[in-house]
Amino acid sequence: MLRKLSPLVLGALLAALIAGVMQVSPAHLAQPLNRAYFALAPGDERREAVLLPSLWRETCPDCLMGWYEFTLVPPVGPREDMAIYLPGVGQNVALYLNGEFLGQAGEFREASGRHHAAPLLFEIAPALWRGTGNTLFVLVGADPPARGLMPVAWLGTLADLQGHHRMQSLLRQHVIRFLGIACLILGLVLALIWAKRPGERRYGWLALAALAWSATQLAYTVTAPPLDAARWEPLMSAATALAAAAMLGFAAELSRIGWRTRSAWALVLAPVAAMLTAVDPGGALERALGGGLQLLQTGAGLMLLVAGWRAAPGIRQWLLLPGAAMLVAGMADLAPLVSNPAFHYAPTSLLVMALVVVGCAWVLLLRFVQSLEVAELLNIDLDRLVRERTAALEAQFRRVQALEREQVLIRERERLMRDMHDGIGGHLVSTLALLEQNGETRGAVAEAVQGALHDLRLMIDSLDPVEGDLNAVLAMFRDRIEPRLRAAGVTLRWRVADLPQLAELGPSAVLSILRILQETVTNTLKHAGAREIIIEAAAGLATGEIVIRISDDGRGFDVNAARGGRGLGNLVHRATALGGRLTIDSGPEGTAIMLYLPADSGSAPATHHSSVGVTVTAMQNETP
Amino acid sequence: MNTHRVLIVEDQQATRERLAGIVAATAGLDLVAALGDFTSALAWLQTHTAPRVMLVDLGLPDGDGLDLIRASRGLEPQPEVMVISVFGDERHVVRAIEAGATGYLLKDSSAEEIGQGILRLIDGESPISSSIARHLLKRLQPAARPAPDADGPHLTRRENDVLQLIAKGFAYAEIAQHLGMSPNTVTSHIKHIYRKLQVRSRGEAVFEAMQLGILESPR
Repeated sequence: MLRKLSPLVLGALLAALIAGVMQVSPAHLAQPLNRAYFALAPGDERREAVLLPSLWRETCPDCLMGWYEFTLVPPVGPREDMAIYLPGVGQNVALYLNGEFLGQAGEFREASGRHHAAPLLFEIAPALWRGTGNTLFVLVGADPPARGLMPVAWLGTLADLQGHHRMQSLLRQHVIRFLGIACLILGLVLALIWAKRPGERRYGWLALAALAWSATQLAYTVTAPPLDAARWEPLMSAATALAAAAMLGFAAELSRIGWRTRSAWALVLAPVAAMLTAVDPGGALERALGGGLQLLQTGAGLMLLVAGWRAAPGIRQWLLLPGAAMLVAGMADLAPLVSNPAFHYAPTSLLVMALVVVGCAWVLLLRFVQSLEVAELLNIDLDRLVRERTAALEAQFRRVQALEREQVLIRERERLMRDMHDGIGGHLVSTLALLEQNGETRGAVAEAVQGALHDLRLMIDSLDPVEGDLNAVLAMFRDRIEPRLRAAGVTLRWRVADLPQLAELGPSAVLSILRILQETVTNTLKHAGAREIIIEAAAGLATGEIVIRISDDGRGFDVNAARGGRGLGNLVHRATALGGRLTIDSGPEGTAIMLYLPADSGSAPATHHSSVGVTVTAMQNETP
Repeated sequence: MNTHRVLIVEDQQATRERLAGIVAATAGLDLVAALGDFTSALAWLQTHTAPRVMLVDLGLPDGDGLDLIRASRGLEPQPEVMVISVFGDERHVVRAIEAGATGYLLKDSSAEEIGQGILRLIDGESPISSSIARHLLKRLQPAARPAPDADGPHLTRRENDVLQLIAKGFAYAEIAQHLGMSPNTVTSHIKHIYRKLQVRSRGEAVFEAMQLGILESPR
């Protein structure tokens, strides 16, 4: 509760202080000059006594100029510098003491200067005073006449009044001008942010309020407007209404009381105010609207209070403080506006609202920058997270890779063991068995050992990565078998076409194919007595199935009788394990063994190997 | 008849004796020494005139046969080097070719094949298998290389054609007929390809030979 009340009290005190300082009179320093004679010309006999402050819309609604005549009592110590202080005049003024010009504010030719919010101080040199009968003439000019105002003037020592004048000038002119510049800059920045993020309407409302207020303050601080009154005044009215409406919109946006759309209607007040000022400046309707705008600002303050009361602790004080200040300032301005219209030109809420706009804009900008920093931090976090995840993934990938390698090694080791067992192991066992027999076995031992060596070579060849190239497998086979054929005096006819790539051609399949080919050729060498062996290979045009045909011109054998034998059975079994099949055709004119291998689905004939490959298919050559 | 001096460096006694017997029995070849380790081979090369052919096993008990092959490149006249291999596999053979070998022989080949292989090597014919050809194609013409005249050795179009056909399993005679060249041209292409693999310059090889003491340093 205390945390909610303290910004509230602080805001109210601040507004009250500003109101007090702005509306303080120099009564304790100087003597008031509140009685005068008013005439349209100096020394005019038709002068009339008036009590100040005097509002022309009441005393002289059609006057463009008027003279106020004061009778001054000379100061006690005539040697001292004296001064006349005017808290603000509607709208231009020139002073004469005993016929001597004291000074002036604004041009009289068009009466377009505006000094209603500009405190004025005029020095009186001691030499100007007469012993008695000192007469002060004050010329006042106003356009439109309804803006005409002669305030209570104050006569005092220059030293005393200078301090008062400085303080009032600071508050009503310099501070407001400074806030105007601040509002312009902040408003532009906020407008830029809002243009990038149209969804966040509080930026838009506050940007509008800040820009409108930076225009509104011109009505108070510009004493020589660049336009004539008929254009300048409606513009200032519109800016004032716009600032009040935007402030309301901003407060409604923050307070979330569901008046967001409704408060937008207050924007209509801007053209209305401009119109009223243009039609009847200083008229009853315009003044009523001025009061309404004051009410509107007070309402905005109330909304900020409501919003702050509900807000989270972090932002609460930034709503409660300005809300309370606006509320108090609004009330401080409303009271004299009703009772004494002269104070219309010294509204506390003008300054308070400027402070609120600048404060809110500052807070919003801070929060925006903070959110940017947060986003930046989040980005850094995200970056770090991504890097961590990437590293984790890489580590995992390496683990999986290592595992896979291990698996491959295990599989390969198993395969090697199996193949060794089937091939070289068997050969060595039979070698051992032969050696244990006590007969004539040297030739058989040599044959068995040779067999083991041949098989070992096939195994080593099968480990050579052929990358699916069956032609390479057949070439390796030729390298191995040709010396043996040459030694046996058998001619090899080589008719191998370019074959399609086989994706599934791993070491195991390669070894199976090599063993089938080697066993076939070994059988031929052992039993057929052939003079010639033809090795052919091609891919079926329609099926893509690959056929490898090994034929000889030796004496054939009875396939059915031989089927039971281990050799042929092994061949068929190996072909089946490859997913292919094997046929044997044998007769008196020779034997032909066909190995059919399934083609890969969708594979095309190998084209990467060479440009000469196409013609190689037609080659038929004898190798002696 | 002009005989060619042959040096054998092989640590397995049985194989060494068999190879020595084959060389001794082959007309045109003259066995000058059959040594069983790196140190004595080095010592021999330091004290004798360079042989015409060296048969070198890679896995020596006291050194790497590759170092011996590299050292031999600095000799004058430069010997032909055949690496002795059990399997003739690409890993063995290509490394030896890079070191300076121009041929390889399989340990269990028949006596006739070994003798003929050595004579053919002297004639300028380097043996090559399909899988070695395949690896040379990959090594000398990687797919990533943008232009043929980029850094490093590269194949000429003809050399490329020859290697492609060998990788497919075709014999020299078949390739010669197909490409319209003589079998000698095919073999000289292959020898050129082997030389391209010898990545280090002859100057470096000479320096290395000096380091090993095979060649005398200039005083």
